[in-house]
Amino acid sequence: MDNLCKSYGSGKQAVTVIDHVSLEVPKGEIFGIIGQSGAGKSTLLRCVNLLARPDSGSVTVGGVELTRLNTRELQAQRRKIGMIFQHFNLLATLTARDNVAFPLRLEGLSRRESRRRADELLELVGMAGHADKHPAQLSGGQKQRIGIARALAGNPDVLLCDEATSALDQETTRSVLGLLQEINRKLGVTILLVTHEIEVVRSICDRVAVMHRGRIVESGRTSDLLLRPAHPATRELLRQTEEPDGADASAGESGGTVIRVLYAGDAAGKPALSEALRGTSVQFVILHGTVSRIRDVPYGRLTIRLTGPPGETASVIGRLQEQGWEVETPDAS
Amino acid sequence: MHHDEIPWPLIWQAARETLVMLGSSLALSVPIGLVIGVLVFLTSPGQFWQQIWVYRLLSLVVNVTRSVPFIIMLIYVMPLTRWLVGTSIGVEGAIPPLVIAAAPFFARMTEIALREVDRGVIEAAEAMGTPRLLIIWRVLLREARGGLIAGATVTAVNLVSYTAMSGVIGGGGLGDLAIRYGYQRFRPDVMLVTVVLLVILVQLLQSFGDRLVRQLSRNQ
Repeated sequence: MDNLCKSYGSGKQAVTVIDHVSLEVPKGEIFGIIGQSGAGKSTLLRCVNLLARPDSGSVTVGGVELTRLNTRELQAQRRKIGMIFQHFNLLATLTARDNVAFPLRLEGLSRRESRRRADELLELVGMAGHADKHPAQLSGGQKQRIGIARALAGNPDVLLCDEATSALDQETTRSVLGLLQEINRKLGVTILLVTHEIEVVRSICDRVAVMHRGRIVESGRTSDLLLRPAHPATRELLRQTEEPDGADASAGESGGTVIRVLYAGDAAGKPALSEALRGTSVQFVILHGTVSRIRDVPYGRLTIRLTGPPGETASVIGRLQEQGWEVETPDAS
Repeated sequence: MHHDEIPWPLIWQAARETLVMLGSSLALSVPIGLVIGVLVFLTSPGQFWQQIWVYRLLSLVVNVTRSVPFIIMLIYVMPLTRWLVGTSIGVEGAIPPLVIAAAPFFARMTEIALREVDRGVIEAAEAMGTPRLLIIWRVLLREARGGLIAGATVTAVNLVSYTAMSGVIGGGGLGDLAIRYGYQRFRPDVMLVTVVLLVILVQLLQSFGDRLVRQLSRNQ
């Protein structure tokens, strides 16, 4: 996407939804766009298959510049771009099988052939037993699986997901995300998803872009961005899931220095803390912390109180930094 | 004819006329109304054939025809009726005004039914690269079919009461009989029989329509 702009309304009431956005999504990756509601991310996603027409700028998918195509050519290209939705958007009057067969019929397959292929797709998404049910008889997670099967019917290179898990409970979200990841790996489908849930990004996205007021304010590898957010909007999003930090309350207590540390990747495998403390009389208490992984990157984020002679404490901090830990001292923050 | 006997042959004749007027005007006004309704819906703001002036014009025509009382419409369109079917009286002469009254009504019902279709489903179909005519046929009309049948049922019931007025132009039918015999010749028994028959007809139409809607939406 190159230099996209889009606004609604005209004259003084015009609202700019997308403000000079350029974005490149690498083939085969799972790319997340995250932002608060109203940030313009759903509109941006709709610009990819031109459900929303950008006012200016160009969109290229798989080497084809969609913004130059006429209606018929665009319809043909859209069949190569699957899309799933927050509210699934299945046809209520069709069975699960016929919903999946719908795009196949468009490609000119016979009724019988398209049903056979639909059954294969239902099998792939784990819904083989529900082919004859109507959407109203299915749960949210099941409907989304049908939606995914339908989106995959045209053997798409790209799958667009518009808040695909926002209407689902946590457990269902996890299983649907697992399915998306499997599709990405098995079929090599590039996935572009928008969400306001940081958990979705954390669990499956290779890369992420943060959208705020129509602009992309930050983007990068998921682990980098989530561990070292630079923009206030990103921090705000991260705050949704962080547990309340107990350090603030205990920071004022006498004795010792409270530091916040972050280590990730290789640094997470090293016994850095015990190395740093060796030979000193400094003692530590972990006040608060998370030790986890984002995608394949292990990390830890701890709040630690160090007690001991000030000189020794300072050298402990220095040694931690040598080991690749990022340390925030109360003075610095 | 003996004074106290109910003129059954006349009643059956009238019932037949009512059914002919109802059947043929319904058969014409449903497709015509459907096309107008789809056009009104698709040219309205936010839809994919958005044409604000076409929408306003169609909407105005629909509203104006709907606000003319049928009894007046019946007389007002006589020249058009004569041009269309060669006569402006009798059962044949009653059909054009019935269609002119009922088609806009069904157009409005169609528009309402189409508005009920989830916008997201249309968007999904567009995202799949569905040509627009297929979206109309396979998505819009299909998803709205329950509402469309309910609308057709209401239209049919309305038509039954319109046919009663066609007596003014000699259209015949049960309503006409009720007025001529029951009211003008002081025959409450004839009046009662025709009213009962009309009630039965409306009931049959309504329950048939309801059953169809229920059957179609069984799994939805």
